[in-house]
Amino acid sequence: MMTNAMKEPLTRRLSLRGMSIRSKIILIILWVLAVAMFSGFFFVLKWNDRKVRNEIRSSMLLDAKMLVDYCIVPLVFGDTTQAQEVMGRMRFMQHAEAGVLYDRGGSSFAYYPDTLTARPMLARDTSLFTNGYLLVRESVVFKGDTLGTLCVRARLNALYESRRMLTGTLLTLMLALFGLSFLLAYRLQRIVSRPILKLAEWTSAVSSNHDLSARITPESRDEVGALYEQFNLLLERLQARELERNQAEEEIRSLNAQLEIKVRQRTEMLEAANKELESFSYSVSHDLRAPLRHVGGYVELLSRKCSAQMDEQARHYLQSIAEASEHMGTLIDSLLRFSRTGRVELKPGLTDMNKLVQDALSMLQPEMQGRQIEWKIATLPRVTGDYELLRQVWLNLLSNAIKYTRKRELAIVEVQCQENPSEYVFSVRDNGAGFDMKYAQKLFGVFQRLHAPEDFEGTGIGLANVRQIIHRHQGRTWAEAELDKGAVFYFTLPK
Amino acid sequence: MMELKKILLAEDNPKDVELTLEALKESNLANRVAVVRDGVEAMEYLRCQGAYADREPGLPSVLFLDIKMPRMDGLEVLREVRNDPDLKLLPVVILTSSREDKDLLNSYYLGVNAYVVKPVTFGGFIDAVKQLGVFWAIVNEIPPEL
Repeated sequence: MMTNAMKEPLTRRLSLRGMSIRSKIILIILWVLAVAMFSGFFFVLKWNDRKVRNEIRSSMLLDAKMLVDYCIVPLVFGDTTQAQEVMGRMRFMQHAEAGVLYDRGGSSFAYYPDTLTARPMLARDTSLFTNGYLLVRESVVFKGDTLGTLCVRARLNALYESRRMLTGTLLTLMLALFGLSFLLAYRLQRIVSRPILKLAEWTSAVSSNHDLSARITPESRDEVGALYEQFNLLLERLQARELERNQAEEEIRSLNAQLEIKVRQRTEMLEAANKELESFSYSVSHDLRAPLRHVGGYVELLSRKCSAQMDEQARHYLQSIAEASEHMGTLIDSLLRFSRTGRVELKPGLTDMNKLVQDALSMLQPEMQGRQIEWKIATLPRVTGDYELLRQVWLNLLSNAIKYTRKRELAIVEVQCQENPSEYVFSVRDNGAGFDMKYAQKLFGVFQRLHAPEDFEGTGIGLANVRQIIHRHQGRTWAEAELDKGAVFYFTLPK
Repeated sequence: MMELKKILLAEDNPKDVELTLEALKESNLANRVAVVRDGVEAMEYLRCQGAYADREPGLPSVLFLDIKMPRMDGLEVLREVRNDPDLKLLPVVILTSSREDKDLLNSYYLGVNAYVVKPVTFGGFIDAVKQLGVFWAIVNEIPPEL
């Protein structure tokens, strides 16, 4: 298995980016030092080379000049043996390795050492460093006449020896310096890295403790010191902002609490009002109905027991009293039902409108006795709503349609549904008595009637019920009609 | 012939009493009706206390009970009856104008035997009372201990 470090690319591992500040500072110092020392080393070596070469050359030139003086006599007399002897003196020369004495014609006259086979090249200049040797040339001159030329080849061993020694010394020195510098850098980097590390430690502590009141004391007046100041300033601003936010939150909390109290108060008031309404309708149902029942009861008793003693007119009056009290009973019942519909809790569920219409129609069977009615009922959607209440809506609308088409030989009732993006629009169309559109606004009000009771009976509560139920379902109701042509009642339910 | 049991009618409104009696008269049951005017009187009658200490012993075959009555209302009477070991088996019929769910629920919760809303029309009222009288005083078999 590979470790994480191994998975990273090599360049990344060696790059400065991943290192700690401390290591970076030390590394930079050592790098700079290394570059400085190597260039110094190189420079010293070069300078030393030059110096040693010059020494070798001058010493060789001096030696050659001295040797040339001894060569005059053998050359003048053409004495090779003596010349050979003179050349032998070259062994006292510090650097000389080999030498050749040429005569005037350029032929070699004498050698050093005696065994020399590879003759030194005749140098064009007086001295020349070439192929690891120094070649020196000196003319043998006697009284302005050039008798020959001495060429000496010198070893550069002294140069190499000097180089070796210097390199050794410098390397030792460099190592010592490097070690010393490392120690110094290691100690001195703290001056730079410590404030930065301290800042880093401190910021991480602040962020993990969420303590915005913490402050850091600057230790220096440099950029890091300025950074500390900036951090303190930043914290101060954050602290101020947090304080502000806390205050705002506190305010919101207290406002919310106030609102809650207000809502509770309103709810209590509403509940009280509701309770009052309930007890009102309760006493209406109890106390209003009793006297009505008594009126009806005594009228009935009267007509049963005393009918024989009454004339036609008296009997008519009694009949009217009975009808009136009965009507009032119906009104009270409808009003109670209306107020109960408004208070009863909605129980919304997925409701099949087709089923509701069929339900309503079967409940209306008695009203369709002896009537010719053509039903055109479209397929209706399923909606979300209270089954009981929506059935009440269909019951009222269909019952109205049946009632107001009573005077038609063939009644036609159409039930339809249009769909738009946000809602369903249901409609019930009949070809009945219709009404004048002038009064369309009044149609859905409580006890509002547009027809005389002797034409069409009713309490005027049905459409008010429809509107109330549809409003509670977030829908709308309206109607269109023409007198004696028919009417269309619409209601919508949201999808 | 077995002695016929009484019908106890608890009703505060004299007109209602009169009309009820008229209705029962049509079934020849009027002479078997004992009338009390409120809940307290009803309890006294049932326990043979107070003004009814000297009445002939035995419980009625049924108690027709109005809800809204002075001093002690019908539901309180019903609760007392059901909590009294001597009375708890007595058939009780609530006869009222109220069709409120609250009253219906409370009555059945307290153990009523029937709940009848007085019809608004006299014809309906007479029919209902007649049927009730015949059913509870004649047709229905009462528990043997009563």
